[in-house]
Amino acid sequence: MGAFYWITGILLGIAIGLGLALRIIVTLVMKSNDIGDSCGTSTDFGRGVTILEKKNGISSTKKLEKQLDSGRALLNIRRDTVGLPRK
Amino acid sequence: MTNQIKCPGCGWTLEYDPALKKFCCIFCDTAYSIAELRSMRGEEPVNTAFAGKADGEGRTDAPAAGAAGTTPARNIQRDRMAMPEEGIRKVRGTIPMNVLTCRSCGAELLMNHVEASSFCAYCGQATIASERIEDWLEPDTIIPFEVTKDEAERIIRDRLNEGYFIPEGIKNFKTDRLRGIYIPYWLFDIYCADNQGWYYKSGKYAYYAHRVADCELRNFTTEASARFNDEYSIKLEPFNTSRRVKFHEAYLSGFYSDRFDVNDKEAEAIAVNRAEKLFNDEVGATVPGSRHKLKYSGLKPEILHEEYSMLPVWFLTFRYEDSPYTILVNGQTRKMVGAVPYVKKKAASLFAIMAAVFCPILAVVFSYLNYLMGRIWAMNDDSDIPAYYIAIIVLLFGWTWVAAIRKYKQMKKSIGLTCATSTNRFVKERQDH
Repeated sequence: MGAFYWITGILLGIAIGLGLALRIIVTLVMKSNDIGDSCGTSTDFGRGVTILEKKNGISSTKKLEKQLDSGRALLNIRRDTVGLPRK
Repeated sequence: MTNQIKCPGCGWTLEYDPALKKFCCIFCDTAYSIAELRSMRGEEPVNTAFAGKADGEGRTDAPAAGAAGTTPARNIQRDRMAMPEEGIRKVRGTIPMNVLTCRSCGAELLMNHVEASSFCAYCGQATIASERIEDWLEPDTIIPFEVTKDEAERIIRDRLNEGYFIPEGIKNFKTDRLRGIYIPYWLFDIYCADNQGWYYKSGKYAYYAHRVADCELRNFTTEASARFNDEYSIKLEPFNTSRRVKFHEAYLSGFYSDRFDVNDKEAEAIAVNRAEKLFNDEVGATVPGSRHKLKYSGLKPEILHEEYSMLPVWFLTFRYEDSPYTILVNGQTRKMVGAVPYVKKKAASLFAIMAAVFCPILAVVFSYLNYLMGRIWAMNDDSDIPAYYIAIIVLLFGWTWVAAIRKYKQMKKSIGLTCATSTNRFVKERQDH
């Protein structure tokens, strides 16, 4: 039984070690070679919109600037009742 | 019919200089502001700047705060125009081209069916297809180039030189073409108001959360060129739309430009979809719990205002190992978009070094942890600790392998986008000068 733990431990260590090395290398290559916005994707629709403020209880004094001042969005959210807990 | 903005001193063509923010003559070294140009051309003086008025001219104000459900009046002045029918002739066997005449030298000027400004191949003078602009719906606004040609090339070179994994052949690239192109965009103001019900779980209980929200998105950009890749255009954003000015065709002088071929109705549908997603994400972010679901919503975003605008982009093309690459620079904000191949040998050797360090350490750690878990399980087979241990291992696999593969695929996609022949053609198939 002891040998089983050691063998699976070694296999796990190798698998996760290789995965970790791969993750680090891919991140470094991306940082070096993706000269654009590396996190941008075509489904990232929030791009180009700035949330200037939220009012009525939610972050009302906090100015949220998600992107450069390219556009504006005024978002007002009113929190209403939260339903009773149910099983 | 073409037009050229002539220098009153020597008769050569004036071109817009992003560094001076004036229209310059390279022959007699004179520069004119847009106001001077207008007065020379006998045009009515207008307030061209939108400075400090991010919501543009003649636009209704934003709806009152907290007034969810009240809809501001729609303020669209424009009739939707149909695309013009033209006698288009196939040239070069690729895309339809029109033959126009240069006003300076009389030479033939080839322009594709959406181009609004170009250069004469013979005399090299900047030429504007004025009739096309007038007939095909003149843009309302324009963001003039703020980045010069030299600066665009310099920032790309500087960035490429920083990359450790970038091949030397790319670092010392020879520029094939560097073109400043005004890309057509629709800017929308969109109003969203909704009464939403959300379902979420917290612990062992399920809840309903109710949200009433309204939102006005201003200057929501939607690209209006069918030939330009949408993924590229989204990555180029955002533009600082508060610095846009009233359109004048003189701004096109010295740059290439296209008119829209995605009409406002098509662009509206795209913008509304994006607005819906953005609105729901923002409201959803206020609902507690990570696993929440929108249960009911009657959201119907409304377009309050639309504007046809021209936004500046620099396109740099070069070749590496027989493949064309196109890197873009936002002509206003200097943001770059593109990805280049990496040196495989460098990446592989670094990977081998890291694997040689991590694998033995983790093998010892996991062997010991396995042994410990075995002991715990042998002593008390009701313990939850081995189950948590397995869950952590599964998470580690996800965090390393799955994330690495996802990032690698994203990287490959970005490189593929940079060497896409369609983007290269978009830049290449214009008149050289």
